[in-house]
Amino acid sequence: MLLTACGALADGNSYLEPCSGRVVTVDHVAGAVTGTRPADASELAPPDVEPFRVALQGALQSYCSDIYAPHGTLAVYGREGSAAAGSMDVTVCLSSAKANLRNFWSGRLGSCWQACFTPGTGDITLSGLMEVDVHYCEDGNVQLRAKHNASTSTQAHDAVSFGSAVAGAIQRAEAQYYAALEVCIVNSVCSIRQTLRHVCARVTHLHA
Amino acid sequence: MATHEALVQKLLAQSPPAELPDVVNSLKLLTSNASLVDSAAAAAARQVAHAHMVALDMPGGAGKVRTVLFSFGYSLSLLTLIDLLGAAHRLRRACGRQ
Repeated sequence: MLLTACGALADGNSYLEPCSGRVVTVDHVAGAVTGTRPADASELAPPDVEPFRVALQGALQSYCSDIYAPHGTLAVYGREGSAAAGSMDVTVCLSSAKANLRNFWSGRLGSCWQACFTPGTGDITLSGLMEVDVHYCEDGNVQLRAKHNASTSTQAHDAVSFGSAVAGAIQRAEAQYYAALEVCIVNSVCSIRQTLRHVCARVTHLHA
Repeated sequence: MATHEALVQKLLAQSPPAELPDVVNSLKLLTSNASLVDSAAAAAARQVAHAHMVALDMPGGAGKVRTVLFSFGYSLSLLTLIDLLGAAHRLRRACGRQ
């Protein structure tokens, strides 16, 4: 389960786990689950939103398993929308983290998407935040913190088409961002290496 | 004291992924005030959990979407980023030694 602001309940230490419909109590300092209970009806997604939430979760599970592997975790939350009467907001949180502190590195990928949908119109507005956080600290301290806001829109007419349309839009937006980020990093490392080569050659020449 | 605790909490909230316990221990050594760091850590741990969307195992494994298959997609990209950052850092160090 994911600890997210979307799933946090009022007491600050309890979180909704929407997949199993349970509320989980967490010890933040220990990083462990201390108890669970079935969620109340008021804590779960409203009955008219739930089919859309479930469809989107089903559509994203294989994406999460494939792309955020091997430690990817997915949570999809649903609630009544604030944009218009009868609208609904479905929030997707995807997160993956990897750490090997004995070898001085850790990193995480994460994204949070909100889909606003009004049944009848078929229009879905998607807005999301993608984050990459990498730390390398062997005899120094190198960090990469990249954030990118994205927004897009798509169309759907029922719960099943909602799931596949939103999942497809999220996959396209994330693929575009991560590919651009990778190109940017590779280019910057290549330019650093070339610059250092010149400096190293000059230093070697001076000391010869 | 409240200002000091807020400052420590702010530092802890910037911990890299999975490194909060190490940052807590380092700050205890630096400040020589373990109780101050411990009280700030409780609030910072919640902030870090939300910011990093920390995953916890459910009792019995429910609510978990994980796979043991290695993907050559963006999971590899994350490792590539780490490798590239490491390579750049090693190059800088090697250049500095000459």
